[in-house]
Amino acid sequence: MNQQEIRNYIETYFRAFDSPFITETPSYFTVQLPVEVDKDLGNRPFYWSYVEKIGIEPNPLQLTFVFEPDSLPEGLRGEELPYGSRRLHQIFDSAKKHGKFVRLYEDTENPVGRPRSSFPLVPWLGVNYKAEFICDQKKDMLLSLGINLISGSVVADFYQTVQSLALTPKLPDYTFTMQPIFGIDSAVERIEAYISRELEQHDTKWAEYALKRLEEEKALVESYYGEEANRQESTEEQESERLEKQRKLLVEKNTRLQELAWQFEPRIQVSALNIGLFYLRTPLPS
Amino acid sequence: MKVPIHFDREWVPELKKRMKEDGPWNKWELFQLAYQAEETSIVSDFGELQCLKHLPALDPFPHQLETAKRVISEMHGRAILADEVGLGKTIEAGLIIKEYMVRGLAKKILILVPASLVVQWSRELNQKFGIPAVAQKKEYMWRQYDVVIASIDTAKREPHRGHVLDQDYDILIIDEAHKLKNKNTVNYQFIKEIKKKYCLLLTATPIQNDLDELYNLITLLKPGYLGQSADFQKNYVESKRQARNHEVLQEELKDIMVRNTRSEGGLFFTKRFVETVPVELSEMEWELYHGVTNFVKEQYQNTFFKNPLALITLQREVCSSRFAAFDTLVNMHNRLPEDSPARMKVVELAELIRAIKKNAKAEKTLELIQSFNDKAIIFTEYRKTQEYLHHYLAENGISSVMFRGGFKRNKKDWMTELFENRAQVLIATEAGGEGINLQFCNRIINFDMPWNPMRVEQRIGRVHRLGQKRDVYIYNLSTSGTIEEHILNLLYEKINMFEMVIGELDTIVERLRLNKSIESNLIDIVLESETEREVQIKINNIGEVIRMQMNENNLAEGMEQL
Repeated sequence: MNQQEIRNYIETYFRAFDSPFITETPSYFTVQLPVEVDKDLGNRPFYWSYVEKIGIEPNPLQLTFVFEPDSLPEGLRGEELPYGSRRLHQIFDSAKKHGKFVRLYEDTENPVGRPRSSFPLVPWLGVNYKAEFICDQKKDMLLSLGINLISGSVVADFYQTVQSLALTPKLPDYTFTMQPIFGIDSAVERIEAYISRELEQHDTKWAEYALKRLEEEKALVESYYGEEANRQESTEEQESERLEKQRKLLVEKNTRLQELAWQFEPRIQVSALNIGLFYLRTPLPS
Repeated sequence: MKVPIHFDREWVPELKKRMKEDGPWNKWELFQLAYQAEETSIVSDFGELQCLKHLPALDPFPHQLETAKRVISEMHGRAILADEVGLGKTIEAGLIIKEYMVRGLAKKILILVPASLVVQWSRELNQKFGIPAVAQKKEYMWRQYDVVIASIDTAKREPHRGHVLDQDYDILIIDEAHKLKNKNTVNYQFIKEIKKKYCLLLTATPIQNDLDELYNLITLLKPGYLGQSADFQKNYVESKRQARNHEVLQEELKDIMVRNTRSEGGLFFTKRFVETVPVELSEMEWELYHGVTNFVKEQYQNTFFKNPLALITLQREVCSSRFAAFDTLVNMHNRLPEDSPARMKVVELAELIRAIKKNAKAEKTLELIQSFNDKAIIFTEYRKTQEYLHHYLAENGISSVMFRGGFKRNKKDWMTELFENRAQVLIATEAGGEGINLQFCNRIINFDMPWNPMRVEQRIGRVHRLGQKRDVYIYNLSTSGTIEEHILNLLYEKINMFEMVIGELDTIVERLRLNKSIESNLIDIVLESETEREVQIKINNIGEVIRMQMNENNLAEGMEQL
């Protein structure tokens, strides 16, 4: 993200919370934080628990963000927001927290000639997933899927598709929602089955390599501790002392083996970023 | 092959609840922003380093980036970082930690360092890398914080030990790892018990005395990697310090150790010029020097001072300036019996000091500074000398700031800034410690010479390091005919230490355990010798011995080849 993209992003963010902009210039802007934003960005959990306990009028912060530090008015202080800065990450996290579940309806004009008749909207469950391919290294992939809760058909790139539709949080006039046939659980199962099929098509060289590596390293550990044990076997010591040493060695070996599995074992972790119920009029190609 | 897939379904009951309760529902704009945030931060391939995108202010050197890359993609996160001193092992470790954090592969991180470096590590990780590392102070911190820095000596003791061994660490980092060379120590056994995924061992000297030390370090990372200890002995060890099968060992080590050296990079350092500046003492200064030297010998033989250290201090102080010696004389005066002849002698010496009006060394220093008309750092071991020089330079129209070991961080930063922007000279009694950047200055004057070569090295290291753009000039003041001259000869001519690049010396000093020996040998020589001539010959002998040891020590070559 470059500075312009970052600025667009956070302006959209503050607008979404209806935060009043106090000043806005090309080089900086100052914004009044609403309470829920202050709680995410203000770094003052004690203040908020205090305010809530005592029941006094809260006094949320104002923040100034700077985009052209060289052309600031004298005496003005503000934060710069380079990519990777802690503040930007706070804003990202806040957006994720407040953008997790939506319910939206498609809003379109009724066709000419039938202005007053009611139209049905089809229920969809849309989920944005992140798939993480993990071994000792990691890569991610985003997957957006939607399932038609009447027909049960699953479509890919669902989010990208619905972004081009007009959506509203209120049920528009002259529309009604159809009763879903698929419940959430079976819909989720279908989506997950779809993802599993999809992921199995992927190149698995990374996983094969990691597994090979794991086996090699395990073999080294096995042989090392095997010989260590033999070496102890041959030294003359009291039986009890020897057993204790053997036990310790075994514990140590198991720790090492567990570490290796933790480090190398290939796996794919799929988690949902955000989820929506979408009631659509436009049919989507499956 | 089939890779196991795990689905997170925590959101399902949450969605059902909202459906049942008709909300609350989030805004479409925030839903989109959430997706966008995720989209910009995901990493879509295994290889490329991502962390730089998150570190706009950091400008690492190419060898540091290369190292981070190799450790992650070729060494799978377990490695010995063995760069020579001054090449930035901390930066490399920081890059690696950051990369794993950005990729979501590391969260819980333990960094074990010598107690004296805890604060510095936490500052570097926070300031340079935006990594929220905390120095462990209270017991609850082991669990409360994800990135914790502590000393091994703290961590290994209860109640800390229990907390550390109870948790799984995504990354374990150990600085100055050569201290773990002996596998029978409590520290080594403790480290072995820590559960970790990735592990970095940092040391500039992976081998100090024998190759087994390296074997033991590797065993912490990957047991069995070089075979059993016995195999290792058979395959790679010729004698204690000599490796056999260099090429094979070198090949094996490539996958587990990174060692960047100055010589191979070539680009790292500017040139270093060393100049001995002879100083002739005035007649009265000579009288004082001889007076003190004889006094020290007499008193050592009389053994009134049980601890000869005070005498040695006096001998060293008088080489620096009469002011440095004065306080020690006053102290001695007060401790000696009232009617002792020694006390009379002290009074005489003090009178002499009062009578002296000039300081040949200070005059020479002034001359030097005026001749190059550039910024310079003057190092002295003594505060009295420091104060005197500050005053003397001011009298001659040269601005200077004083810098001491006891200064708090803020004050050090402030003094550095004053020196950079307002003053021509910095007068320091210590090397300043890490994190103080004095590279804008390229001239050092050693007003007096520490007897411990590592201290000289640290002084030079302040300016001759990565980031110095100009050639570096070192001026050593040498008072003809004094012990100082002999010591300078030893360090300069015999050990050749000023010609060594940074890092080389500490390797040698540590390996040969010179540090203690040089200083304590010098003390013995000064106290035990009858004549100046004897002192000179004995110091010469040390130089010969060291030189022989250095030549004999094939390990030095072995190390370079590794």
